[in-house]
Amino acid sequence: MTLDLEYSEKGMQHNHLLEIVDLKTYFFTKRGAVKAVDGISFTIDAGDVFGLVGESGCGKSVTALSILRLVPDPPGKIVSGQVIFEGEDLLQKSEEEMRSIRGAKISMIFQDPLTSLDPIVRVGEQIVEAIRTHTNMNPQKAWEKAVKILTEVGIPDAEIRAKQYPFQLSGGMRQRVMIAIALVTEPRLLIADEPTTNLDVTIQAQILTLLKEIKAKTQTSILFITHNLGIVAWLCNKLAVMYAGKIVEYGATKSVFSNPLHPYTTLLLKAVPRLDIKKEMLESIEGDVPDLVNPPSGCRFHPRCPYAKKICSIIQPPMIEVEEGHYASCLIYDKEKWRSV
Amino acid sequence: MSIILQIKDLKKYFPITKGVILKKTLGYVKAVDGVSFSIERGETFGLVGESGSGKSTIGRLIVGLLQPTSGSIFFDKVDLTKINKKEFQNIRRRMSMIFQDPFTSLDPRKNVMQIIAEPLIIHTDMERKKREEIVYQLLERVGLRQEDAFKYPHQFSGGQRQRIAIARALTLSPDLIIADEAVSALDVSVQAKIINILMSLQKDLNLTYLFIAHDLSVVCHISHKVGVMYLGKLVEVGSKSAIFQDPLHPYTQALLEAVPVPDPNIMVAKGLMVLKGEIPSPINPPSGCRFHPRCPYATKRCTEEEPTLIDNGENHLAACHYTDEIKSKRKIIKQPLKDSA
Repeated sequence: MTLDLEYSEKGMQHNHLLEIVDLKTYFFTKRGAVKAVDGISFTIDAGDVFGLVGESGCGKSVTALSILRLVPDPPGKIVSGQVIFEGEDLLQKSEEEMRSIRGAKISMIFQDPLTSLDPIVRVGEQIVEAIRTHTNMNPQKAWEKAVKILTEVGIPDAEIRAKQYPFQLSGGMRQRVMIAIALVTEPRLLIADEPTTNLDVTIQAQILTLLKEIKAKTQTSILFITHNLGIVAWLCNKLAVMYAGKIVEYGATKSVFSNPLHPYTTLLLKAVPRLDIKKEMLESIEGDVPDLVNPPSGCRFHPRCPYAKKICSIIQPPMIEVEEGHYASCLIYDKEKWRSV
Repeated sequence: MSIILQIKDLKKYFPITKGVILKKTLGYVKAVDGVSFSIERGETFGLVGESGSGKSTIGRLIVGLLQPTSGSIFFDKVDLTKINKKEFQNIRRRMSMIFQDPFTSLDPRKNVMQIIAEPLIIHTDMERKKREEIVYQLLERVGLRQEDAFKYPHQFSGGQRQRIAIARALTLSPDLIIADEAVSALDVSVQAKIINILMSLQKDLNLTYLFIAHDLSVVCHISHKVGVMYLGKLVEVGSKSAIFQDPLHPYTQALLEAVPVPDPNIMVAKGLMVLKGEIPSPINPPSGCRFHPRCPYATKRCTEEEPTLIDNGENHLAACHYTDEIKSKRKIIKQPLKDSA
């Protein structure tokens, strides 16, 4: 109990629930170091639903794994930076301390519930396991709690379902079970890594609505990782756009969507086919995502950027606050440097 | 315009068997259950539906990868189900297919030249020099370089591989291309490029596409006509504008409302419509209208009587008993009505 008190006191001083400072996670391969996450910083406050958006290979999932210190080592390694959660740097914790945080204070749900659930354990038991790992509730009570949370995440006939195995449930149901396991310990932060990517649209809408309800009912903040800009627009209040291991834009959802600052964000929004707007041709981004062993010098987006000048290949652009609370890492917003060349 | 492909009352049932030697048929998965539609030359017909709706099975039936249980497929007025193997091979060269995953649909041990030239070897007796010339032309068409002809699939990114798959599909200058989730595995920026290539090829070569996809926004962008499938049945067919601006079937409406749009202002106003329940098993589909257990408007009639596709003017067909009532209700009350039975 005393420990808890300390946490909350320190958390109050810092105000942020999670603060990531200059995080670098590299994977050391035969070809060289893959700089999957290369110096990113952002903060999540209590009550935030924070969207981390980007295309495949931009480092968004590695960011999530780094927060929980689940990066496979070797070949991966968190090279530098800080992950300050409730005022304490998770990167300084012992493995044992981390284990008491994972699943209790920070939970995670993954893309594919079929591979992240244990196929030979009844789903109810898997929830009980999550409860009993972090508390010493008796098995009977834990089972009751498991059934209760299954009902809360929208599983009908929860008592029967709790006794079933993952293969007996549909994809949407399995994802609900995953959410139940993640939430049963009432974590402060829920990390959701593409939780609806494998699901059909109507089921996706159900799961997203469930997450929004959870957000409204509990104190849990959510870090939502996705490539779907539509979901971010609906669910998140803040977002960061990642490209090739770096955050290129960061701000409140409304300002990023109404006034995208970074050329990558602008192009990405134009590249999405939309139901509500007729487009003759889609804007596409020339070229491919760069190799992260040898990322482009200067701004990593410059080889694909239609506005790039020579200076973009030399100077790595810093994060510039263009509007209040809305940052972009592009030299266009550094008027002096932009004009000088 | 002339009709190039016409499908009449097409059915494909997969038997569920038990035992190895004495095979007993226990039942059937009714993957496609009486589907009819036609595609005109030079247009794109988008076939949408969630997983298990039977849309891919239709594609496979057309190109002869599967044999239909009953029904007919007319390609250029020839019934493909009634001709012999040799005749079929002659017609088969006039259609080609692009698959979802460019990582598995290209032979890893063949170089690009061999992959793209293979259809020429099978279907023509063209000399090697001439074949190579055609391959170079095709590579240019899809935006790859001549030097790429002697590389292997693993040396390309996902988007480039999909270009190779498109080039291969074009080798025999087909009339009809069946694209089965051809852009689903690609990132947004790359996806936009591939969609643009497909659309400009259609203009230049007067191609006809059967575009099978689950992503409504993509289908909306690329198609002229759209068919919506649910559990082996076509529930609505019509022009793009009819389907997307004035959907008649409650399932189509729900599907459209479930897609999050990348604009926070719209999302706040519109929200996500959530359809209850999940897609039922195609082994024992619901009686009457297959959508009735999830339909917000369902009545007793829907559970007993199966609706047929009815023309609502301008070739806009919907299989619902209550299209007129729903239309008027939908305008007055935004929230769907509860079961009135």
